[in-house]
Amino acid sequence: MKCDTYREQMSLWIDSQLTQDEIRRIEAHTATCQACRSALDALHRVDRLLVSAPMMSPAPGFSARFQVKLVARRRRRRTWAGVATLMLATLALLMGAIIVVGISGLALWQSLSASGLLTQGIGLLLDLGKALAASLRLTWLVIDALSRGLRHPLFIAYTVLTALLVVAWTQIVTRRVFARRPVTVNSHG
Amino acid sequence: MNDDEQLWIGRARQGDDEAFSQLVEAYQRPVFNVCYRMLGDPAEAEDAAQETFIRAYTRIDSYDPNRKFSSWLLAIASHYCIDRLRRRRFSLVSWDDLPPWRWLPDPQPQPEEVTLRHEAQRHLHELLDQLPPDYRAAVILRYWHELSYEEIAEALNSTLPAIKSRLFRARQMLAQAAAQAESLPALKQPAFANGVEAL
Repeated sequence: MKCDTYREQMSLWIDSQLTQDEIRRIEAHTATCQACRSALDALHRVDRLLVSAPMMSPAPGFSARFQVKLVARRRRRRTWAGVATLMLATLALLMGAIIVVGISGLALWQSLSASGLLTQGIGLLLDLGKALAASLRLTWLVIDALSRGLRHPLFIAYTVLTALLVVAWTQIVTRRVFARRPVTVNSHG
Repeated sequence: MNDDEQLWIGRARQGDDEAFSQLVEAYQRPVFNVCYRMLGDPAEAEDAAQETFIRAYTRIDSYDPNRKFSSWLLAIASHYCIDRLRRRRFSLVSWDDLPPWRWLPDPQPQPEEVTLRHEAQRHLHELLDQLPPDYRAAVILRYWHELSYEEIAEALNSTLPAIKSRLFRARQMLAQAAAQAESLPALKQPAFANGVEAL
């Protein structure tokens, strides 16, 4: 048997998985093989190290902390379930609306085509477009005229004069108000 | 499995939260120990242990009563920690970056004891940290929870020969790491008698 096989068996020996015969064979081999003896010693040291390491406990109150976490997790799950249901319901409604609008639109199209109202409708829409364009043009002309008026020297002169009079009036009123305010004496010095 | 435990499991499967709380109370220590030995950090272990119980709570219907409940729970904890360690591989935080107070849950220890204990814990974790996550899980289940080879194989979704080989290789790697670090004499000190809250 090769050294590798003996070494593999050493691990089984530590876990009490070998028969007495198998143990005797390893002992006989390690008596003559220095490398395997060292390997066995090293495995025993590791074994002792692991066996002596204690079982660890959580900090007190683990169970209570678990309950808190569980409640929070449930609440989160319920929220997600609610959101998912809401989204699905919205999607279903939206799909329903699309189907209804599609079917109604198709039926309307067919009715309009059959009655000749479609051609009239298109003509009306074109007229409406022209009216809209004329309205926009009119609006633009009004804005342009207003802007010309605002830039006129007479309007500018009037605005400046008004502003100067307002400032002067404010100054006069302010001075009078302050002049009438009674003088208070600080009794605490 | 005792009668009380069977009763709690039965009631928990019917949605009794109080019965599940009894199971948490009974198994918090082994579950926490697996998580602590796998992850090496009390805060992470607490989080992993809580997550283990939440998973057990949500999957209690899939528990096979012919199996040991403790093995089932430890399997959930092991798989969760293996996944977490695999994800951690992509993170850049190393064990050395963690502040030493994270190993300090003992009430009023002497300063010298504290130092020795931290050193011992750190060395042990450094050794375990050398192992791939699935090897580490096999070692922990074997040493701290005394699961048989068959139970370990079942818990880790593996085969008997694979577990034998995994334990053998894990021991070899640990021996090699210990020899390299020359830390074995320090680890053999009685400081190991104390842990996070070792009983």
